[in-house]
Amino acid sequence: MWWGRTNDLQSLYVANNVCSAVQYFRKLGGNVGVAGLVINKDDGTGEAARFAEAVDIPVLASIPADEDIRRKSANYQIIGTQESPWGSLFAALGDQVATAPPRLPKPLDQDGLLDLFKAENVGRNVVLEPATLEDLCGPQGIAQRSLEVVYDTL
Amino acid sequence: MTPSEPENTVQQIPVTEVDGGACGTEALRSGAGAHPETMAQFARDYPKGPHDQPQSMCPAFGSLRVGLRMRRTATILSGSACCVYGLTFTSHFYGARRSVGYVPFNSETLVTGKLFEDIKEAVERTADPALYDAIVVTNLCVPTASGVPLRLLPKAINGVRIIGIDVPGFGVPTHAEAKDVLAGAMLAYARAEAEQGPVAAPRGPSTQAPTVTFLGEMFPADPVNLAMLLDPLGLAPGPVVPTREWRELYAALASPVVAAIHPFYTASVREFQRAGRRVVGSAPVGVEGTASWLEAIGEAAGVSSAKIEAAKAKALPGIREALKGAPVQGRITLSGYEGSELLVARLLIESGADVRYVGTAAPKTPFSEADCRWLQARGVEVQFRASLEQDLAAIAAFDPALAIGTTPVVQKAKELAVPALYFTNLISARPLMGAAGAGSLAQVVNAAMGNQDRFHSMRAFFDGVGQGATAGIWRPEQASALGEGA
Ligand code: SF4
Repeated sequence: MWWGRTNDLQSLYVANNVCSAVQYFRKLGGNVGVAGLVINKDDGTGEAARFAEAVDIPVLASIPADEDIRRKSANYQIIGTQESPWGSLFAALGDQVATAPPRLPKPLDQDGLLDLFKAENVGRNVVLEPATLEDLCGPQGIAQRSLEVVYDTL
Repeated sequence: MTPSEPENTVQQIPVTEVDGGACGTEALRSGAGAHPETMAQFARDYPKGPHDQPQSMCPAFGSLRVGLRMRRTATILSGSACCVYGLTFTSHFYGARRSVGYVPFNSETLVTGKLFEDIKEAVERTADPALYDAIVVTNLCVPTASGVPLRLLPKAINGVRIIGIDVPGFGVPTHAEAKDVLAGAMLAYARAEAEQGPVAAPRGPSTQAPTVTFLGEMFPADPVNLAMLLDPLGLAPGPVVPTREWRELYAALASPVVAAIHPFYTASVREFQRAGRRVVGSAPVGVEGTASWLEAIGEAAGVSSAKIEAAKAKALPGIREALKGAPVQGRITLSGYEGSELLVARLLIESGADVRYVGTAAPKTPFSEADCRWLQARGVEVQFRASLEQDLAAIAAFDPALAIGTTPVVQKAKELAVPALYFTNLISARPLMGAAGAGSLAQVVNAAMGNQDRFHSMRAFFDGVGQGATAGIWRPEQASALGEGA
């Protein structure tokens, strides 16, 4: 089970690494699986849900990015009680975690991961231009190393 | 697959012919799949002009010719068959007595990457160290646009160096600069070899004097003239780049000073500068040109000012005499794609000509800066990356007694009854440097200008021929005007 702030590339990158690691352990003969994904601080942009679908794991719960939850958890207050409006959400999550079977995920490659996001947000299609020596050292800063040509003596 | 087909049947794949040879079609111009770093480097090295496509021959002709002129060098082209046909035809027209290798392709092998495998196989089969020092593989427009990755070819096979270059019409604006693409790639390779350890020594007797490498193909007598000018400086002539043999590249890199006689060798200059060499622009043309060139070369080589003055004292009187003995009078416009246009204009002006316009297909670089300033100070309009339209507009604006230019410029001038000379065939084929160059242009230039009367009578004789109703194009309205009935 992976739990993190999950609608951003960094979190999903880590989640995807977890999936890769699980697959790797399976190949080595290990017995390990992923129960599913908990989307924390869900802002509704949908990348995490798309990720779960793509790697073939269920979404166990989606905890909204809500100011009430943020404040309460920052103050170490318990929110998962029947008195709070969030009680049923966490109860359902508990049930899900208890019953979800271990699954073997299909991790994405780098491009697959980036494809979950809008191109302009992750700089897809950006052509990187390597810095030249002049960029790094300035026109004066380039060390004038002199090549010494040595001829074969035959 | 049905059971009746054995597994190793060669399947006839319906092939869509690749649309090649269309210099600068939209798809090619965008270079959709071309290697981005290569294209970015081209954009830095060879800035575009008013037009972004070659207005003269296919640029790959420049690099093709450089490779074909080198000893023990094999040449393989990868591109559309029509481009390769034109390029090999032209190279043999210009006297290449050598076969050109060709790896054909179709859209299937291009898209699947099989073309690259085919090129690799061709290179492997060609790489015979008994025959070759190097194999040059050139991607023309289509494979460059598709990103056929020649940089992934092995660097050497059996000791034969493999040089893969992209020379697309949409990235290399002139055939002149294509020479630089290949020369620069070879210098980079040779520099890496010299950094690793001892390399093959140049042929012939070795000189103790420090040498000067020359950048740019010249009339064969010019290196000799340059040698005489350098002698009093205590310097010896080094190789001319593009070189005629692989090992000359090492000698070229060993020279402490490089004279960029032609100003457009940007990639080559970069290699020399990486080797720590000083690069000097312009050339010893005319009195003033020779004086400043000797000063610049002497200074770059660390020669004493006394020696520089002595070299000037030895060279300049002869040049002055030669110029006086061969004066040129009359108004001239001049354009070309060789890279020596500004130098020729300087020489003509010192000979007395009234040069109004110089157009060159080459871009503006630091190595033509001094020549440009010299010309502009004398009221000459200097146009870098000149287009055909600009060259023709100059003829219309200045009404010259002689137009020197490329084939279409000369054609247009003749139509206007303006005497004209081909730059490439008639001007480039003469010495320019030192005293030998000073008197060499007058004869041909004056003879051409002396033809003005003939042009007038020819024009009067042929007036109207090939125009209107006699143009050979059927136009019903003209026919009915002539009473022939539509
Ligand atoms: S390779 Fe040369 S001839 Fe062929 S399309 Fe390109 S510029 Fe034109």
